[in-house]
Amino acid sequence: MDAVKLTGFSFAYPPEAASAALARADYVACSGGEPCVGAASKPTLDIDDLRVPVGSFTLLAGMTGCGKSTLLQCLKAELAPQGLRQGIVEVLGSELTITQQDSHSEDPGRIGFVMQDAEAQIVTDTVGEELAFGLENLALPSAVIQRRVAEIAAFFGISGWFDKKTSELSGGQKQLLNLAAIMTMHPVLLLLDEPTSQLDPLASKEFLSALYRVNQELGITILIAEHHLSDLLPLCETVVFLDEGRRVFDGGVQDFIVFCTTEKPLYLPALPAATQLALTLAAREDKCQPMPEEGLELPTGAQDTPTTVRDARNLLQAVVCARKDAAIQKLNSGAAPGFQELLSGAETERASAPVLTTHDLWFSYGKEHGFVLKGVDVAARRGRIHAILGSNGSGKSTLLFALAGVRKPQRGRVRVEGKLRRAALPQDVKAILIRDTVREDLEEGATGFGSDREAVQGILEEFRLTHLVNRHPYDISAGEQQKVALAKLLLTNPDILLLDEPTKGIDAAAKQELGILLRNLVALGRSIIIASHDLAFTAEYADECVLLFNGQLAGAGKPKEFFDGNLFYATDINRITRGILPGCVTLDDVLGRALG
Amino acid sequence: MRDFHPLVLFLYFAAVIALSMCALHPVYAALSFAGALTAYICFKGLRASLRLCAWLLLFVLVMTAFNAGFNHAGLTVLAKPGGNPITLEALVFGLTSGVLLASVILWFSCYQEVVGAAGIRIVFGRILPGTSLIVSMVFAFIPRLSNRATALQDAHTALATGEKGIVRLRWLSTMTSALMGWSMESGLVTAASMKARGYGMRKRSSYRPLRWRRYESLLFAALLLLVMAAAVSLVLGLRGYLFYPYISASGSVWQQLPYALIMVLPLLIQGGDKLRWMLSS
Repeated sequence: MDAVKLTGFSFAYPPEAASAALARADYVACSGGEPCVGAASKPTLDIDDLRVPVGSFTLLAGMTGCGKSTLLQCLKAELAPQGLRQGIVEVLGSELTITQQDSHSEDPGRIGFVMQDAEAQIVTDTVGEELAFGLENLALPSAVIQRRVAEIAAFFGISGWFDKKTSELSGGQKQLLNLAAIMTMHPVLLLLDEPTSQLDPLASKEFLSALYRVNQELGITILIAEHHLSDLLPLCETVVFLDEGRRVFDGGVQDFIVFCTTEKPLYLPALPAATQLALTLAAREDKCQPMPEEGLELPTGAQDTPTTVRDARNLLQAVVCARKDAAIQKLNSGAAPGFQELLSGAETERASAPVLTTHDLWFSYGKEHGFVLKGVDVAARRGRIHAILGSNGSGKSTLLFALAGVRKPQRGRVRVEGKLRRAALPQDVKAILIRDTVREDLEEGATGFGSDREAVQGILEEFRLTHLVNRHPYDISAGEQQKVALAKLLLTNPDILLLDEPTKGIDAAAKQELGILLRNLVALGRSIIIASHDLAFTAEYADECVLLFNGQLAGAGKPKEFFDGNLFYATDINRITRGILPGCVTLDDVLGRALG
Repeated sequence: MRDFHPLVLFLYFAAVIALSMCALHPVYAALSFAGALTAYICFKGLRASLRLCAWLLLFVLVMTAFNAGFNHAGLTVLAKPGGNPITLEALVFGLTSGVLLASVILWFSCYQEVVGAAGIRIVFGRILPGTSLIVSMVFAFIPRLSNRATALQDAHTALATGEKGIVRLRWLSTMTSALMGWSMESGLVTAASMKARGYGMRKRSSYRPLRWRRYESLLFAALLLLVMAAAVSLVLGLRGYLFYPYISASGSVWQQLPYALIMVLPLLIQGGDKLRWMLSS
């Protein structure tokens, strides 16, 4: 039996709503770079046949703007967007008919829906009331509500913060609360629209493992749309891939990986690092040695392309053992990673004087809060990307805003070389995108800082944003918002850029684009400081990484030595290659150094 | 005292606030004030109370001086600066009303400390579930709004686009509209989240984890009796008391006892609790 079954389904936003709804890249088929004018005429979704089996954990994948959100919304009567609908949608065995906008299904609790914005989904001010909210709407008796709330709070381990105010919760707790508040209504099907994209990696892992328990222990069907697959793909059984509103793939995870390699190479960077590494290895093997001599003995079960660090390690181990290749042997022996390189690196660092320094910086939000920063020393240099890593609440954002001159430290001073300008990008870019159109926002950035309309035009072209100029900044995708905000920042002609979580909520392709943009900026002599959770991104693009812990910076080093020395704060690639191919932090390292 | 049912607490504070408001009688006002102050110290500690006390003292002095300076009723003239008689009666009246207002303020602060907004919701949640939800949503919304305002302000301080003077005024209006836009955007998500969970389908029921037991009923009844006795005590006291033309009082001290008792109730309960803990350990 299928939990969701679409037959000959198509959906198009109505023309009058087109300007608003179509503009939103999340909701409409319109891939980056092209203007969206023509999109109004063709349907957003056009799906001949789609089935999600009961009890499955299904991933809804696709590039940004392929119609994932619209599809999920079309499956729940209460959220179904207005528009032209054709074909049959069967959810949980009964046909879904949307007669009017304010329609309610028989039992709204049967289908749960978790959205991206963890905070905005929360309705009430205390955890207990939030859990009870849906049940109160169903007018259940108080005794039933109390029992269900208690049971779900226990299941999700919420008891510890049950009495808290919702505004005091961390982002991860908020999203877990949203899931729990839906679970009290005893759903049979859960629809999730990028639930972890705003969470830090640890919170995101916690959320996904809670979701996995819901699926495994309660047998609830899960359909989840998400960009970041490294922790998610190992949990999934089936994958549905949408491309411009069409279902182009539907099947198991292994078939999906094959599908990506053969049909959608653009989507490969979104796959887990483990899978990417395995695919690269496989490609190499095919190219170098069509048939490995004496047969490449892979461990049992490794016919599958791995999706987890453990499986990828096993595979790599097998490959390395099988290929008693001279190249690898050499690497294994002499690859305590480029000590000479490090030395020469240190010399060039001495050569370039720091542009922004702090010495013994202390900061506190008030007497009763204690110190967030306890003697931080920073030295940012021209032409470099410095990355500050650290767990949630370690004070990364505080440090960044102290460096930007917004927060005044209690002790210590931020010294800026000469008359260099600083500019900071906040975590939520909505804080700096405050005008009605992208153009107005950028022109505001330009005025007063020696930039003119030409500069605006120039940066629009450089960042490939020209097709968005007349859109509202809220109606573009997260990746595009990030770019517009960065462009606005650059129009103020800063020499030092301070970026808070620049990769939050954006897909793999947008991340790559952002990374290249940042590299270009430092190549022109700017310096950049990033506060981030994104280990893979910093490993790839930063020049120096440092860990903020307990109010102090620890273990500064080049990404390679930094991540290679960590067990937990290491990239997935490093965890896979540790002890097998030393000194590898990114996929390129594995390619270039180990197998080159 | 915080472990009492909010409805019992609500009754208590509503009663003492109402009684204190009517207690235009030096002794009763003083009793109210003494009760409120000790209760406040019990709940907030000495340090926090001292600060509030200083303000209230100033307030009482101003009230007294004001009344004595502008109200010349009464027969006992104390002084006659510039031909305007300052009478004992007006002085006492000013002092009494000042203390009365101060005690009401203190009782309200105690209420806020012990019951707070959550208490109102628990009390009225069953009667007015809709209103209770709105209050809850407002309390969830306020911290979000202030976080966003801080984020906006920080972001623009960092960009150094905030100007001074008239330009700054225009700037503030831009920021306000940005804040509104941002909040409305997230409000759409909240609305969707509410609708997805069946909001608006039918009349809501109420989830109240605090139950009403026999103990609460007894407490409530006892408290109600005490409130009535105190009210009678106050009425009797006020009936036999005159400020003008000269201060005159009748009736025994004993009739003030129920009023005094209700005013020092928090002190007795908190003190009793402390004693019990000390004895048991």
